[in-house]
Amino acid sequence: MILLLADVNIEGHVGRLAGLMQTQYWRELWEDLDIRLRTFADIGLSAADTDESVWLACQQQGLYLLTNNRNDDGPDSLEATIRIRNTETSLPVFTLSDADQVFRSKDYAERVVESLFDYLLRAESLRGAGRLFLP
Amino acid sequence: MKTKIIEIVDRGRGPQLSTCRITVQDLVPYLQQGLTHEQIREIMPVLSDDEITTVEQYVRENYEAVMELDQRIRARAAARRKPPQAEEAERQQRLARLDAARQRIRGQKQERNGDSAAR
Repeated sequence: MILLLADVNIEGHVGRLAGLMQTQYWRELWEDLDIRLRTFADIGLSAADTDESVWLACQQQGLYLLTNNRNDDGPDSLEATIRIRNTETSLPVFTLSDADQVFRSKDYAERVVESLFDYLLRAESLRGAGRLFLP
Repeated sequence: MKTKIIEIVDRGRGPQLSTCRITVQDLVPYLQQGLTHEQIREIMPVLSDDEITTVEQYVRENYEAVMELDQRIRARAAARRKPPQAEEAERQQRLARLDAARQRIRGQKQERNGDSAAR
């Protein structure tokens, strides 16, 4: 089973991507990987929690975090958290390289889906990779 | 639980809502596109009307700084983008791996079906 957590700023984006991932063309990969979406509430997080808390909760509970790419690289940022806390066994974080395009371009959304499936199919080998961009 | 005071603060990720992880820059592309609150809430259901209004007001009052940061973020994303040819080559490799995975899954299914039919 693969658990995905959408950051609160891309819940709609991930909903759209998950819809695409369950269309007939992709369904057998979705089912084989047994992908499940989780929300912040499901794993005891609040929408106001820090990047560090969110990253740690994902590591402790075995979730792959999906994030946006429009924040500063400050001391409490996700980038800083990964720099400090990432180990060779940590789960990677998947970041949409241009989240806005998910709604504006079906081709872009499809490429994100391809990229995400490609990563998830070899997820174990990607431990320690830190942040991976989609597509 | 959200606190009552909704304001813009900086916790090291750029200006963001005091009540929520969502940053001003998360909303900028959608404000630029002129999306309504309802449309924004379809993308970010966690946001309240008051929170969106607070961000809109911050953007109006700090327009130049917000747009300068928006440009920096867009430039950073553009710099990470690979040349189209390299991107396409990577995509073809990805699609080949996905096809191989599909074949593997189908093979496993057929094997399982064959096994159960043989029993």
